Amino acid sequence: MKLLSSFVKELTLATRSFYFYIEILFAVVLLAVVLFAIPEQIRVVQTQVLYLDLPQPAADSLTADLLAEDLDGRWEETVLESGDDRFDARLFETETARVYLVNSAEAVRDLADTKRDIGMVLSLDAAGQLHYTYYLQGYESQRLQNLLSVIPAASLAGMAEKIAGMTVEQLAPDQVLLNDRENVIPTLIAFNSSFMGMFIMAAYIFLDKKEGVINAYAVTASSVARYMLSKILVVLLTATVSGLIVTVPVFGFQINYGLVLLLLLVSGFFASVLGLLIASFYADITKAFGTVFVVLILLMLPVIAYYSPGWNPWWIRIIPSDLVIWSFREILVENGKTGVVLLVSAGLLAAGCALFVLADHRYRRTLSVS
Amino acid sequence: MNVFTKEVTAVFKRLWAIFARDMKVGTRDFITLLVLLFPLVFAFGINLITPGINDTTVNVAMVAGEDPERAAYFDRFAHLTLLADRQAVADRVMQRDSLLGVVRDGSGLLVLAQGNEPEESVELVKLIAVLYDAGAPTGSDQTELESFGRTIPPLKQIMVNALLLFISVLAGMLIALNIIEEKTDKTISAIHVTPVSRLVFILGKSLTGAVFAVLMSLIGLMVTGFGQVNLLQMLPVILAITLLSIMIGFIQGINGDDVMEAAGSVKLMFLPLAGSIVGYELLAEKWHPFLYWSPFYWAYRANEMILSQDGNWAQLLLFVGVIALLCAIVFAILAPRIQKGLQAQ
Amino acid sequence: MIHVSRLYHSYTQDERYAVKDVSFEVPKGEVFGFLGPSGAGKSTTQGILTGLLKLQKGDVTVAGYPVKSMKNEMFNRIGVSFEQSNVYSKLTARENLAFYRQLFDVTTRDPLELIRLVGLGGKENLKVGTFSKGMKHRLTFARSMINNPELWFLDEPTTGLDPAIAANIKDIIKEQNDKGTTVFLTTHNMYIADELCDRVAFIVDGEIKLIDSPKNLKLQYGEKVVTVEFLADGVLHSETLSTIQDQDKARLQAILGTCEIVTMHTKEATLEEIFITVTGRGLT
Repeated sequence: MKLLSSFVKELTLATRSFYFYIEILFAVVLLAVVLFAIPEQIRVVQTQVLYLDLPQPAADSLTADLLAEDLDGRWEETVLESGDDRFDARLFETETARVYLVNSAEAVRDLADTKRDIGMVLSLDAAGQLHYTYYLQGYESQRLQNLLSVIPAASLAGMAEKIAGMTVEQLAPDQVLLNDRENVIPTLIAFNSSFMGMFIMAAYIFLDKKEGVINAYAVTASSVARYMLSKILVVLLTATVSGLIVTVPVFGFQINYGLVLLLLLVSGFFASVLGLLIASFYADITKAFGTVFVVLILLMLPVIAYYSPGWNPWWIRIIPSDLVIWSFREILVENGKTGVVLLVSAGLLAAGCALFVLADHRYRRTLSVS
Repeated sequence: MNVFTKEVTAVFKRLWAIFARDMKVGTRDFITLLVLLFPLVFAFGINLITPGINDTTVNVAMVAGEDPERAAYFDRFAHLTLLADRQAVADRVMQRDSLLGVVRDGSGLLVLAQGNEPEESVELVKLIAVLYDAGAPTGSDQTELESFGRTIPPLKQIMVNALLLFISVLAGMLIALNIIEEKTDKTISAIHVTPVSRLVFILGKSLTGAVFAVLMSLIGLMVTGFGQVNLLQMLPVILAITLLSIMIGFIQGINGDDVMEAAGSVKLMFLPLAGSIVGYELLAEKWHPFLYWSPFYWAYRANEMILSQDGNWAQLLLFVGVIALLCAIVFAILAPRIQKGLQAQ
Repeated sequence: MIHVSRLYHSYTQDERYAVKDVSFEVPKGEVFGFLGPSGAGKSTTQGILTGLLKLQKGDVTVAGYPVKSMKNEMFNRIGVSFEQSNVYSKLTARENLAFYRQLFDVTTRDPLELIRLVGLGGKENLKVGTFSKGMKHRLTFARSMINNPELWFLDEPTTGLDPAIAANIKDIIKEQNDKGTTVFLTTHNMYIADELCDRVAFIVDGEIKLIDSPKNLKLQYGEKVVTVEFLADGVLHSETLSTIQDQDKARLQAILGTCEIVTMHTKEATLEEIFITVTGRGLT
């Protein structure tokens, strides 16, 4: 009962703090960004400006090829502006490109210059061979330039058959991965919900230290441990709410929310206790900030590894946040490894409890009158 | 020395005293140091990241030592990773990104794919493999490449532009931290019983933010390779957006009681900033009027013009004028609160 | 140096006044005390005089400058020591004073000299954040002298200080006053007021009840008697005798001439007793 009343009091205090609402608002904003700015499939759509300086039959044939790749099977008549000039164009939208077919090489050059898109003029040289003129900006990589240089070789006799004849082995064609939008959720909830608790807890503690509340607790029948626990519960509540705000609209009810809550709570608990422990070593937030910041950066390194598949050194894999991110991912994918999630949760709970005992010991030892 | 000159000298002396004190304390405080150095770190980060972003054609993994000449040929066109053996290549292909494996299969070649790679990437890898077998051409008389000589990729420009706006917001945070320190120490009253007027006090405090914004913006531009842009055009934009941040910084500092609230408020300021950038880049022009209320939108447009070296003064002054007008509106709303907050504590 | 006429101040912009119809004058060179309990209006009055609070109603002149159209140069002539110390905790003692002196246009005193004067010598290079409450208070006091003020506002200058240091502070105040500094002292400590002030004003509930010198007040409100303890034939006696009545005066002379005097006290009223008598309220 004392814990419950402590928790209710801490929650009341927290709801009077501006920062409490910022966390919730930020989760809503993150959700909006995820839903509206991150597509389900991130495809790099390149814009190209093209002129076919070819005999009509050849130009028609190539235009038909473009039309066949167009997503809705028809082009769109449009006008492109470049300074004071206006150029008529036909827009073809394929899966990976937006191609504007214009009526002159000057238009290609002009538009490539002002719109900063790749420009290409297909013409015939003196020998009647296809000639490709590319207008590049200058920052394209050497690899891309090399590639553009050899692409004409693909239209040499026999090349198409050789290319078609190469074997491609699909290693996991039926695997259902998270789409690009869903894929950002593990890192988002790991940080905005779970690990931010470290920072928030440290902040709450310093606020109370400034007011001498901890000393006041120490001379009552209610223990310092109970006080810390009630604060942790408040942080966990915010973490849970902000985590669910981001997860539910993206995944609906198709995932195991029991596991989501479990992982949110234990990782939040671990992070909060870490924040508590760090705060016990310092008198105020400005002195502690350095340590909190360094720890936060360390915890964020696994995010880089998560988005850089080729980079995953062993020391990243032992950072707790890496375990949390990949565990969240296991919950969100179809047929994810539940055992891994439970093991990681147990580990975080045990580590959190050990740190809690340490933090309690430190707070009782370091009470002072100043 | 006549009275006017004497007065002006006195004012500058006091401004300098306040600014020097703020800088002295700032460098002793980890949070402030972090705010001061963050743009520099970010600028170096931009330099580190952007070449990689630019270097994407197709990603390929091969077995090291299996076919060195073929691997070298692939490296001309693709981003190549060499791994220990075929299993390592297969494991690497199975990771989330679009990377294809090319391994020996008997006397031929096999392309390993996870199954979700774009078809164009697969076709490109097959093309390179076939080209190698056909004599490994490195160029063609049929191709002509013309370049406009621009060395800075668009993503880098976006990131640098965002950095400039970010710096201005950090300037506001510096001021907020400073004001909170004064409130904690209750020193504002002590300043008010000296010849320092309220205006000079506000100017002195703002100087820290303004100097930081201008200096860090210049350093950021130099570090990221934009040192050749028209700095004379850049300056009014930096100052205009810094003005907004300074006002917000004062409000956060005066109304907040602790560093956490100041951090939270500044976190909020990043929303219109990020929204303006994302909106400008992703929304079609017909939706842009919905962003006209944001000074960050206009600053972003102005910076884009200057960074692309397409800046004309007429348009620039229009943008700066709009920013100033929006700042004036914000000021009109916030001024009474700032005034009240700076009264005796 | 200070002229206040019909001063009013309301925090709620209505008829509920924190300071009501307050009028007084402080001539140059005087130590003027404002004595009253918490919430009496002392700090409000001082706030208006020092420009920290806006003048709402009344006529106030400080150091020759009308407060209504206060000029910043007035602050070159005044010094203010706050009840709550307000120095920069992240600067050292010396840096605090060095910064502050740059804000004035007049000749200022050497920071180190002031630091030593208030007994903080040897601690000038320590960050003020490490100081005790008393040390911070002394630094705030020292800072108020940096511009050699002609008019000195002191708000509870000895609060929280141990007797030895408080005595040092009092000596400094007397020394400055001897040099011609006018002092406006607000306090609820009657001993300080009694010891230092040439005149005191009693303020309660925003109104001044009386203004007079401590000596006059004690004479007016004190009883004109003397209590003498003396030894006669080895026995301790105590008698209280009037200093006006001839009979008692004669008896006093006889005791003084023939007996060994142990103690002798005049029955003066303390300022606190006078305050209670006049205002019906205590000082705390």
